[in-house]
Formats: sequence, C-alpha cells, structure tokens
Amino acid sequence: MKRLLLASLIAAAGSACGLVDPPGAPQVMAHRAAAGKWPENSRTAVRGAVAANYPGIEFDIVLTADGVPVLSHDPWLHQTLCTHADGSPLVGERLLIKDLTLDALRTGYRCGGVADPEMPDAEVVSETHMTLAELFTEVAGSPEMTLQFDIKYADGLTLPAADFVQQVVVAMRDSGLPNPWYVSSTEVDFIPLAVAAVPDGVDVSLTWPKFKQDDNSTLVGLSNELLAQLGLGDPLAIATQTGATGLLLQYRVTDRRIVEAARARGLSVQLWTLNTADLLDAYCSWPVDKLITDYPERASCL
Amino acid sequence: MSVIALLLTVTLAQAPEVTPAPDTATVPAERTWGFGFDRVDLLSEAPGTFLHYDLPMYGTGALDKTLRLLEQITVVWRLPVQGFHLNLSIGTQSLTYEHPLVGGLFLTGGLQTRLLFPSGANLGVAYRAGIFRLGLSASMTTSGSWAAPGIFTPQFLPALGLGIGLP
Repeated sequence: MKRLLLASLIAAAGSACGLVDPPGAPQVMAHRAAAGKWPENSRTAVRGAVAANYPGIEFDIVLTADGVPVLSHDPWLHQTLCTHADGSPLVGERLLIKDLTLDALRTGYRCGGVADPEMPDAEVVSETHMTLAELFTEVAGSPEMTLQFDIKYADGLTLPAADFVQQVVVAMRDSGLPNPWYVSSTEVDFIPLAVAAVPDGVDVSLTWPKFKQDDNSTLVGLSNELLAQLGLGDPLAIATQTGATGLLLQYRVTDRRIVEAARARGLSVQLWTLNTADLLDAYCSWPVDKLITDYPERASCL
Repeated sequence: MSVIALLLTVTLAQAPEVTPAPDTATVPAERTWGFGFDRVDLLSEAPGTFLHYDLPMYGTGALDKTLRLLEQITVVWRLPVQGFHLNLSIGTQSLTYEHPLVGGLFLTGGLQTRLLFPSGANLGVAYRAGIFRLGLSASMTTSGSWAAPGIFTPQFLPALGLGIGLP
C-alpha cells in the first residue's frame, strides 16, 4: 500500500514536469538577414527578408573611418567571404573597417561573391557593403518588421563605443521609422551608454557568452556553462550590473532556470542561433521573446 | 515525462520488500551513524531542474545536456550528527536532513547553496529500499550566487531524486 502511494506520488510529480512554466510564443528573427539564403548582412539579404515578410531581421553594424554605419559581422573584412573589387582574394593582414572610409570600402572591396561553406544553400552575390541608411530605406515599407541592431563595437578594433551610440542608436531613435527595434552587444562598457540613449520600451540586450575571433566555440560554451552553473559567470548578473534590459543567449549554454529568472525580472530573452527544424521546433514553445535563425522558413513558429 | 515516472514506478515495484524483521541492514533509521559515504544521487532534488528543463531538450544537443546531467550528479556524505547529510555536486552544494517516519520512509528537508551562497531549499519525502533511495520534494531555487548576490527570484518545482548507495 505504501509502495502504491509512493508510486502515485512519483507519477503525479512526473505529470507535473513540463507544466510548471507556461509556454511562450517567440518571434522568429532572420540572423544576418537570413544568411542561410543570401550573403550575410548584404543588401540582397535585406531586400529578400523584406520581400519574404519576415517578422524581424538581425544585422551587425560596424563604423567606417568616417563614422558611417555599415553592415558587417566583423570589425574587419572577412578574409574568405570578401575580395578586392576586381575579385582577387584578400591576403595578408587583417583590414579593419575603422581604417577605411566608406568611399574606400566601396571602391576597393566586395563581399558575398564567394560561396560560404557554412551556408551551402545561400546565394552567391558580390556586393559593396550596405549602409544603415540604405537599410532604413529598404525597411521603410515594412513598419512591423522588428530590427535588431547587433553592435560590433570592440575596443581597439573599432571606433569608440560612444560613436556607435551616436551613429546607430541615436540615428535609429531619430529616424522616424515606426519599426519595433532593440540593440544587442557583448560589450559591458557599451551597454550603459546604449541604455541611456534608447527610448522607453526599446531593449538593450547583453549578448552572452562572448566569442572572440578564433575561439573554439565548444570550449567557450562549456567553460561558460560551468561558470554559470557555479554562479561565477551568471549572464543575469552581468545584465543586471550593466543595466541591460534583455539577454541574448546562445541556446547551447542557455539554462532554462536563467531564462525563467530573467523573465521574472522583466528582462526580454532572445536565443541564437537555431538552424535546424528540430531545434527550432524544440525552442518554439520556450518562454522566450525571439529565436534567431539563418533559416526562418524552418521555424514552425514563423 | 510520464515515461520517467513509469520507469521509476517499475523500479520501485522491483525493489525488495522491507521485511518487518529488525535487520539493521534494511532499516536505515536504526543503522550506526557516523561520518562517511552515503550514496550517489544520479538524479538530484537540488535544484531538481534536470528532468523539467534539460531532459526534454536532450535532442537539441546531447553534449550540453550530458554536461547538465553530470553537473547535477551528487555525492552524498553522512555527517556526524544523525540524519544530516552533505550533498555535493558541481551545480549545488546542500545540507539535508532526513527524519525517519515509518519503514524506509523519511521526511526530508534541505538548504541549497551554490559555492556556499544560499540559493534554495527542499522539503519532501524519501523512501529507501536496499541500495536505492527515491526522493520526492518541493524545490525552491533562486538565481542567487556570489556573482549576483542581490538577485532573488524564486522558482518552485516538484523534484525527483534517484540515489544508489549504502543500504
């Protein structure tokens, strides 16, 4: 009889599992404007995303030497995906975008004209860098599209954080565009500046964990996972200390406990980068605000 | 999750009956107490989130979720004061108390810490049968840690424990 009672208790607890937190309805964001379909952060990708009527796009921003925001994932020209304007490959030293004016960038270099081995289905289109002003023009007819500005400020490799605030955050704030938007960054010295500049209701998200060039993503992920579990590198703590109003978390190291706690504290939560249908299905019911993917069409919650 | 409940129910059903004979080897409450190894909890009740949050997502990354499983595996030590245990895992370190009720059934309670920073509590029951221990408790966890001492966001979950150790 006692055994039956205990078995019933266990069955009841098992049934309760998974029902303790209400499911969410995350919005699907096209990573780098859908890098799985078009060259990442390209004019072609932004136009394609607008034509596909995606709910939102994420794009990366770097400033040129003359302070013009352009779309680029790295503070430098990608040595594989970018070429000289004549199509010859980039060799030798790393070319920082902060050392090139917009004119020099456009006359000297192209990106997207080389097949990306990590995105085998993506179109190959050689283009100049897209400016933020161009992006504003492209999305002007899609007022409901959410815009995620991923700020690629990096100390020593880009112009200062204050310049990003002025040229990107303030520019969007004063653009008159009605689109929902938010800002994200890995840099703890950028976030308080951005928080001070955004209007009420616009999130500034801490991107976690931080990957550096040439980092082994698995090792970085595992080490951050352990630090988080030990309570020594908690992204919620970092977000709170910097004043961030959101968390942009890599899904592999995302602890559901942190997600629940973040939402309970009023922070928005975005997960990156989920690229298979199975992954997207699994996370579509999570109580998060955004799922970021290179392949929006693969998401059942699109 | 009901599959897990079913498996545990079957395990329980296969456990040997506790006989009424006063055999100290099968009546944990009467065994000689002293500091030493007690058991390993393959499923820990502190914080008790693995079954809820990580196991259902196993298909999204076996390596990550296996790490979560390892992080919560707990080595439990008996302390010199009868009924008290020290539970040590990567994710949680906790102090628990077991009060014998009847047969192999115990009332349990515990305080959870993360590197000794208070981070939660458990209250529930446990059943010991031979080398097996099954625990069922209400777990309250917070995000408190040395990195974020000011954050107190409680979460409540039912928690299931499965341990194997000394009879």
